[in-house]
Amino acid sequence: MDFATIFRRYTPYVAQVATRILGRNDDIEDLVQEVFSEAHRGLDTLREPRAIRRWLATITVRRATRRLRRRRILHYVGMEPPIDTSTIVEAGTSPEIRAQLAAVYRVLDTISPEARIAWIMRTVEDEPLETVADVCGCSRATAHRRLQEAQAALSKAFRDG
Amino acid sequence: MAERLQADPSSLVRSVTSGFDEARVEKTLQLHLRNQRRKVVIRVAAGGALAIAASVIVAFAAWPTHEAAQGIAKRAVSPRSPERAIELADGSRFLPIGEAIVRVHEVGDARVRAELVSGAVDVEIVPRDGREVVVAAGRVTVRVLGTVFRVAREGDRTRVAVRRGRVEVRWNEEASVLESGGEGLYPPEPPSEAGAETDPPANETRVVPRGGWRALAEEGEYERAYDEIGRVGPGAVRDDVDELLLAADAARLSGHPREALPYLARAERLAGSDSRGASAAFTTGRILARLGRAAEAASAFERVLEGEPSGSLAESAIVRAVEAHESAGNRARAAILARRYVASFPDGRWVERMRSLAE
Repeated sequence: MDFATIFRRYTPYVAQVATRILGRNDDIEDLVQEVFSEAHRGLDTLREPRAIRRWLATITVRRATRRLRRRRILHYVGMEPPIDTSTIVEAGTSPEIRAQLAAVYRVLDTISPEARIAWIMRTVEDEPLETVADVCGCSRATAHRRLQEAQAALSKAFRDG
Repeated sequence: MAERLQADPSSLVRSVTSGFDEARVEKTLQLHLRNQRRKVVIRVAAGGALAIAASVIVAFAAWPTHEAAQGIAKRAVSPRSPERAIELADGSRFLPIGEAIVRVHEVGDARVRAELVSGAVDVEIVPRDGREVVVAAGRVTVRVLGTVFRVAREGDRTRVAVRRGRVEVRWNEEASVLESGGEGLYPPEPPSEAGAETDPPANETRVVPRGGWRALAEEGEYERAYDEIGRVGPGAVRDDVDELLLAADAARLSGHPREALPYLARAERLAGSDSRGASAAFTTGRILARLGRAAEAASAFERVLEGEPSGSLAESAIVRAVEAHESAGNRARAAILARRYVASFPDGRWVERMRSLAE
């Protein structure tokens, strides 16, 4: 599979995972470029075509983690832009759902980027725990612990979470 | 702080969408390729001084004879175009001369496959065990294993000059090996009369500029490519699937979707069972749907399903076919396809919507 084909096939996936992790899409294009630049350099090293998706997920997670850490610093100094979910949901989504989505992301902002990503990859992207551990670069036990951290925060915030 | 949600948090986050449709993916890809080319230029510039010094030393120490490469260099009217260089991850490079068109079709551990469509190209291959590098140029194929050489299209024939290493040149059923310093024009004999009869008339080749619209389209300059096709007129686009798809891209991405349809129809017909046929049919369906020709769009999406029932476009094609049939008032067919979606993609992104339409 040539690079352009890989790009066309997997960009929607990379962009979707990144948007869900970050909860915003204001610099998703930059992130996609970064992911595929890294992918471009390593294309020859990938021997198993079926591993491409997971490989891209790993790069995406790594890049998104850096952004989340940067955002936490901006948050501490009061420079983080407010959450605006209007650009990441379909146009017809009700104001109530948008508000609740913003509330979920507010909770996710209070936990570690690693826990947030583990939760998104496991419960939103439906990846098995082994894959979550793999793309997050940690053990299965650590991935499980991060997942529990996120679940606990969400359960505390929302009675049915 | 506890509050009640209408849906669980993961379902809410699942409703998040990046907004990346195919047009945005294409735009981002073109931007990415442009950035990659810029990086290559920067790398070339940074290494320029060292490379010049090194090449002088190597020219005297390692390449005692340069007549072969110089022979073609004298004939070449344009310099190399480093900004259009194609560099592989291992450092191997394809350096088009002037407006030459080079396409790299395959890059893998076992094989690199490139095509010289027009003009001339310098090729620098980093040796790697077990990897075959093939450059096709018209009727001639050049097979490489670690070398520096130039390939130039000269009318119906192809000139190959080897500066370092060894290549095997193949044409029809014959083959010849060129060693370092060797040069040859292939096929060795002038083309047969039958071959000459199939060449386009001289005046037709003159009106199509070298590189022309294809080079513009490959650079993402779709509007200029579309204008160039119009300026050249009939004959600008050959009956070649890749070229027809490129012409269709130039038309639709420059805001002329209707004009893309004939190219796509020809590409689909020529591609046959090739996956490019399904790709052409899918794009046709999208354009027709946007033009409000729902019944025709549905038919195009169904052709995708016939051609590649389990291909990468199948899931999207079923959904779009269902939507198009719905728009065209053909609810019965929409329901049949919606049921097919639910059966084929039980965990698919649109399964809830399809399930509701299937009932």
